[in-house]
This record gives sequence, structure tokens and C-alpha cells, in this order.
Amino acid sequence: MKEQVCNFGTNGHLLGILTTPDANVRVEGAPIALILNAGIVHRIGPFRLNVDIARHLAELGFSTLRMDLSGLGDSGPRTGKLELENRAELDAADAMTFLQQETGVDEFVIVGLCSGAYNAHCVAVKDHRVVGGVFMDGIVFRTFGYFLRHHLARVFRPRFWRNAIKRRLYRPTFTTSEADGNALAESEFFGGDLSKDKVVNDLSGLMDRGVQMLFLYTDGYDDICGRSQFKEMYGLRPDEGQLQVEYYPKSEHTFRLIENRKAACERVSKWFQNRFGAKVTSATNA
Amino acid sequence: MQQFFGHPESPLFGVHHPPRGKQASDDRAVVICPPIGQEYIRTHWCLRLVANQISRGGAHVLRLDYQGMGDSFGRVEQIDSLAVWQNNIEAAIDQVKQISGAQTVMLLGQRFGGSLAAEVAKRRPDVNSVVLWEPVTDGQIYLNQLRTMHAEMLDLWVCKMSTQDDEAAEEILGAKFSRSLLKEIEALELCVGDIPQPQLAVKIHEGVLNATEHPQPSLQKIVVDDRPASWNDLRELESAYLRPAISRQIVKLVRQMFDRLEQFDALKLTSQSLGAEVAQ
Repeated sequence: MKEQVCNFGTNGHLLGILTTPDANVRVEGAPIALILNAGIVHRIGPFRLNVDIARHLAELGFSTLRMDLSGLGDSGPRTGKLELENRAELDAADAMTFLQQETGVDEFVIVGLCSGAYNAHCVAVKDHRVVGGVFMDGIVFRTFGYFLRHHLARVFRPRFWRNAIKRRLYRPTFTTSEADGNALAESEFFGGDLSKDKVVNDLSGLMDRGVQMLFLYTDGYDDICGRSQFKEMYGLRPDEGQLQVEYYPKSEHTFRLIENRKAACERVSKWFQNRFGAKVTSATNA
Repeated sequence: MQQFFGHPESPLFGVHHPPRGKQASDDRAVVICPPIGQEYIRTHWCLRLVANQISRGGAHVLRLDYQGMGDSFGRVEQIDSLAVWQNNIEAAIDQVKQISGAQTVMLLGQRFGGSLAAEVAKRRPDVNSVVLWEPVTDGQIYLNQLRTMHAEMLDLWVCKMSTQDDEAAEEILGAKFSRSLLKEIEALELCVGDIPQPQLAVKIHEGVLNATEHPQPSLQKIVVDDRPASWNDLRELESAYLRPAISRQIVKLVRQMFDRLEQFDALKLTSQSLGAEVAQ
């Protein structure tokens, strides 16, 4: 495995670390994984998740670029007249163009957690060089089933009440300014203009394009409860083929524990190997 | 400029900020030693800003990722001794000297990075001064605080949860530490009196961290950050550490320290030659 620094984009203002596998395990013709920032955490990801995924994939023969979007981590800000465009879409496009020129590979799998998953969705929809996507705790909508499973079920769960009391004892409740800060942060990282119908339409388009998709959700992500919510949200039934969904009931949103991180890394790696170990085409999706 | 450096089999990641402005000098160089573990991630943006501002004042700055952290080689659980991270700092010193041509280097260490920097400063005569930013002064207390946060995190988990510790390693806040490394951290006691170079110490508030006070006051300047510390607050575990006021103050004082060192021709001298008056 080899890692190298890559500078690309306008005046080389963007930074990424390209991880390439040893020649003896390299999967020829496989797409390159492009990992985006989660929130404002720099390219290594929360608890170094992105590094773990990149190095895991390299052991299986796949290359990865973990990058900082403009203005985050060690990347410079994007200047110019395109400020109304989604920064992530422009930056990811720059990264893919750079990788095409450097490696000759013209297919990519986009990977993101939280706001990274939101950005990955936007990039995947817009850029047809994307042939796969891993969306970790990405876009979700609360459903009736969610209210039943989450709100109603937890009322009968002793640990919920125990934790609620302990949280109050450990620390004061959120102040208004903290709540405002969280709302501001959310509006900064999520466009907020994605309706459920639009996402359903986007996903249908990605399915038609033959884009391979893996959705990972955790219990720590407060807006989803159970794997079945995916079908409730989008009317799409996950399978073991093009559209795969995994739910981790014991994991925090940012995969704080090594055990959770390892499970996520292995799931992503196995999915990658399964879908791209031998190049998948739209004809062999299922 | 970002780069991998050190041994090709175990490369370290570093970011070099070249000097800018009218006062740009190849005699002034700083190595930034970040905290470890989750604190490293929390402080990344803050230290990037500090590095930028110091370089704008005319000095070369190198930020490094220790082995097992950030983009550098390896995992934390593979580190069996503090000597590994201290050696990483030494490699960064050599790297920035090679890039800049400077003969001596200032070390700026935050939290556990401050403790590591202090140890390195004692054995490197080419370290001209040290900045200790809320350094860890007692390894045992530090570890206990991390373990308490870890236990609180698990206690508030959605279901009953524990982490798999064994005789070889212990998981603390998302990273696995080898027992031998933990033993060394536990034994760590920072004694700034042993550091011969002039130093700037940043304390959280008055009356705390007396261990950072040098027995020879003329060799040390202390500044106080009035904002409450957040290192041991679970709510802040994944929040970026941003302290613009104290950061600006540190940048300003770093420049003043360089001016004084230059005035006494100490940027080209070994630490033994530095006079006590330089720090003041």
C-alpha cells in the first residue's frame, strides 16, 4: 500500500491523500473511491474512519482518495464566481478529473458520512462518472413507522428513562444558543431543499444508471429507526444487489467505538469487493 | 505544502507553511506538536490557523501527524512507547531545518503534544524555545480523565455497551492504547524546570497547573486563557476546539520570542548558551 499527497483544483487549492494498493493485489479496472468530509472534520474522518476505510480497501486491491473540500481541513477556499453552486459538487468533479488524468480511471465510487453522504448524493446525481455510492447516515425522512418504533417503543424501554435522567444529572440541558448553533450548523452543511419526492426521483435515476448503492445507518442518527424505514421513505426494497441497506442498532453516528468502526469498514470493503471486484455493469446489477 | 517525510516504510504526514510577509526569515522555524487521540482531531483547525498566522509573521512552520494518527503511518495500538512520538517530533525538527535552512527550531506543543515537546527539548540543543499550550502535566490524572469520559460515554449508550480490553491493550475514546504505552503515560510528570530553553506556557486559568511554572521565572512567560477548559466534557468530545483570542495572543508572543532570540543571536546558538534574560 502506498499513500501520496495530491493537490488539484483551481491553483491546486484542494488536498487529497491517494491510497493505492500493492501491485500484486490491485484490481484492474476497478473504480476509485472518493471519500468526502463529514461535517468540518478534516479528511481523516471522525475517529479516523476515512483512513480505516481507505487502508482496508487498499488491502483488497482498491484505490481511494480521501479529500478535503474547499475551505475544510488543509484545502484552501474556493474563489471565483461559482459561489451559488454546491461546493462539494465542484470539488468532487475537480477530484475526479484529476484522478482521470493521473490514473486513467474514469469511474468512481463516492463515499460520505452525514453531510458527506448528503454531498455524495448530490454528486452522484449530477456526475455520471459516479458508478457507486456509500451513504452513511445520509438523507432520511421520518415516517409513521419511525414514530412507532422510535418514540413509542422507547417509552417502554427502561434504559431510555435511565439515560434521560443521567444526562440531566451529568450536565445541564442545551441552552438556546447551543440549539441555535446546531440549527445553523445543520443549515450550513445540508442544502435543505431536498424533498422526499426529489430524493425518490434521484434514487430512481441512479438505479436506472446502474449506480451501485450502499446505505449504512446507525441508531445514533436520531432520524432513523430500523432498516425497514428505508422502504417506508423511498418505496424501494433493499436487496443484496444494486441497492443494499444496513442498520447498526448499537452504533453511534460517528462510529466512536472500534468495534462499530471495524464493522462498518468491513461492510464497505465487502460491498466494494462484491460489486467491483469483477467490474459490474448495469446489465448484471441484480 | 503537504508532504510525507521520515522513513519510507513508516512515513509521517506534515504540512509546511512557508514564511510570508516582509519579515520572512529562513532563520525562524516552528514545529507544531498536536495533542493525541480525539483531541488531535478537535484541535486540527485551530492549529492550522495558528500555523498560518505564525507563517504570516515570517517563520517556517511544520505541523505533523504522529505515527498512528491523522494521515501518518500505522495505528495507535501499534505504539508501545512514548519514544515513538518523541522520535516523530525529532524527525519533524530535522525536516523543517532541512526545508528552511534554520539552525534552531521552536517547538509549540498543545496538551499531550506539549508534554512530548518538553521531553524532546531537553535532549535537542537545536531547540531554541518551547511553547507549552495547556500541557498535560500529570499523565495519571490525564488518563483518569479520559477513562472517566469513556465510561460516561458507554454509560449513556443506547444499550448496555462495553469495550473489549485485554492484557495487551485498552480502548479509550475511540483509540486502542497498548498497555506499555499507557504505563509510560501514567508515569509522565511534566517538570518545566528541567527544560533549559526559554518558554511560553499557556494555562487555563489562574491557580491551576502550577506544574507549568518554572522555578526560574525569568526563563518563562505565562499567559492565561480565561475561557473554561472543555477537554473533559463529553458534550465537547466531537466539537472543534476554537480559541481565537488566546490563539492570537500566542501568535503575537511567538513573534516576540523570535525577535528576542534573534536580538541575542540565540537562533544560531545551542540551548546551553541561551541566557535567562531572553525570555523576558
